[in-house]
Amino acid sequence: MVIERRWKKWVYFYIPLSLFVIGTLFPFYWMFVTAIRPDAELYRSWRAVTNTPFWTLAPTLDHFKDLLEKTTFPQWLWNTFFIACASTMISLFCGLLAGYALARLKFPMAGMLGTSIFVTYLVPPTLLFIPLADIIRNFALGNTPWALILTYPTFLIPFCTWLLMGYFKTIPKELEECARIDGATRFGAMTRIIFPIAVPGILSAGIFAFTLSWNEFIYALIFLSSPEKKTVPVGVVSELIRGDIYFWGQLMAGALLGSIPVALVYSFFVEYYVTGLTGSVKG
Amino acid sequence: MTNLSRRQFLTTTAAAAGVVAAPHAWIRPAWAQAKEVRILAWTHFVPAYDKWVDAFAEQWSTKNNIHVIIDHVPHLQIPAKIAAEIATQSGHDIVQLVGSGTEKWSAALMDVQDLCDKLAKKHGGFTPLAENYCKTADGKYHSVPDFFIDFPGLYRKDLWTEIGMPNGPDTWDELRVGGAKLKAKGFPIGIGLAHHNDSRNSWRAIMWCHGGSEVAKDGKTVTYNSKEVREALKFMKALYKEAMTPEVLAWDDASNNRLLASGRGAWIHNPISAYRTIEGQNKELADKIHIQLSPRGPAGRLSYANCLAYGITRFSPNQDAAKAFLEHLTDSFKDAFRASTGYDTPFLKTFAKGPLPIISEDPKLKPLEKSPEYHYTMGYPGPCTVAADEVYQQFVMIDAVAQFCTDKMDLEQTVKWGEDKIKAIYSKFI
Repeated sequence: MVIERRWKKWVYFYIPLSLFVIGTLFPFYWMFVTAIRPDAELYRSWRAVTNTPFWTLAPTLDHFKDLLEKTTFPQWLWNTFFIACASTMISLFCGLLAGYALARLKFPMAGMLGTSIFVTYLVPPTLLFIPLADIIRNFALGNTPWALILTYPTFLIPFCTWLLMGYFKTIPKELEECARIDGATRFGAMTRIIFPIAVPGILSAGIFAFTLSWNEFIYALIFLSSPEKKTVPVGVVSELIRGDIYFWGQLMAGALLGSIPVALVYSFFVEYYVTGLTGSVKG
Repeated sequence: MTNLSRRQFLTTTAAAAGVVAAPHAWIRPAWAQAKEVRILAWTHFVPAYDKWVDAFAEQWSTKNNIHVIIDHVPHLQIPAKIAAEIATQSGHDIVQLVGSGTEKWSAALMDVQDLCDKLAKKHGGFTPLAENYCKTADGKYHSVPDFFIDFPGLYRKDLWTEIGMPNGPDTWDELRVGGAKLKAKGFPIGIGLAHHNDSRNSWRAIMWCHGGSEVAKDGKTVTYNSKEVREALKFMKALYKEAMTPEVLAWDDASNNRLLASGRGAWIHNPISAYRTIEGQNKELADKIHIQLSPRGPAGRLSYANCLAYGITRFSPNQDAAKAFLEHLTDSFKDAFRASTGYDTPFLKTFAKGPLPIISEDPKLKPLEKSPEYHYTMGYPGPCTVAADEVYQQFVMIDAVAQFCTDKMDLEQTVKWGEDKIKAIYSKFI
């Protein structure tokens, strides 16, 4: 019996888990190895006797050094962080109010409005960047971080609203009704009872919104021009991919450093994030 | 020392970020500042060129008291950026047109015939390729020719010597025969058959060398359904099957460079950027790589040129300053050429006839002196039209070739499929 259980545990748990972990972490490992691999090794033939594709025997920090010294990468990192934080905050604020209203308030076409908000999230940025560019020009925001801080919510607010609307629906109405009976206003019940319970959902929406802003490319490319104003995704591509020449070492160093803040955000809020995704309050 | 709770940490971090970020709120848009000429340019394949041109612009700025700023953007993203700027009628004063032709943007670009006449007078005129790329349907220059990227052959001399062809393949057929022998030894040749620049450039070179074309000299009559195109397709299929591996079906612009850099490739069709990169990383391998003219075919030697030119936008408030800068930049072509390590092939006849720095001095690069004689661009033998650009951008012909080479379509189906697509595109513009 014991032997059978152990066998089953391996087949149904350890092996699938190992495959999942390898599949998930391998890209990061590959980024890391490429970032510390000297150029001479990067372009060596796979058939070369000395080729070691999965590790390097001569690790170097040259690519990191080049990235930090020859490009304005730290500035790109800061720009990305600032823009992602600001647009996430704006979107969360709007998403919270809209999500609550759509989940709780009874008004005509509420369901359809919720669906419509989600549909706007599906409109591709490649269709929207030209009309948005016109708005950016009218407000003279071109080539400033505000061009992105104010355009990212066009896709973040629908996303946050939809996610939070779903989350609010899982919170029993009775909790809010009790507060109302005890004399709380709707706003008071919302901010003092519902929002604290919804923290996992709010954080999940925030993490997703932050990640979407962090990785956004097309608006950042169109609305920003100066090298010192660029975000990481655009800066790295502009400076380190030159036609048919890819500076792989620096690209991977940039990708690795660029993914650290996102990884930190995820790890910091992991338990809330999981709760937010798996459902929340039992009625 | 007190313990910092997560709540305190978050509050402190948010407050600190807010304080540091506050100045961003008061930064004035750069476009609203002092008089300046802003240029949208590509990220040059040679990083040293960008450094040179930035320094060049700074010097000119100091001398003329007009601030020139060059924003470098990857070439594939430039069309989206120009489209957004045209739609909003704001943005850069000068935009670099990378491989797209001028006609497409002509409504948004000012007539620069006067400047081009002046430059032509000073430097012996522009080559027909430059005229084709920069003149629009009204017969006037709407962009200032900058340079073109030639498309020669890069071959491993040691490998080709082993099979009795020490100077590499001079004709497409020699490439097929020699390539088959080298593939058998484990050294295939590489021409992409996928959605990237090099694929569509190589195919055009092969098609033209076999006498085929997508359109006639009038730029309107579609000529894809021809005996010559059929011959070119048959040749391409044989070349793919005998001398290449299926990896070419999933290539991007960097893949053939990697094939050569890995030491596994015997020949690639590519600008010298591939050689320059290997030179910096693997001197031993670079010594074995030689450069030759793009191969010739039954109809002669023709290859594809990716052209670059500068347009001045109609909405620019500083058009005179923009013209003055472009004049100075064109006058300094030899310095630019040196900074590009021989990459920027000239459009001006004085420079085109040579000798040129770097390539005329290096025996290995000397074949590149002939590049201006046999390079053409999209729409050949007709003008570089918007329709030709769309056929190019949509990879119509390379899709047809890939399907034929992989036996998904027979010859007649391939020609019919390609012809229908090309005709549909041309009919939109006629």
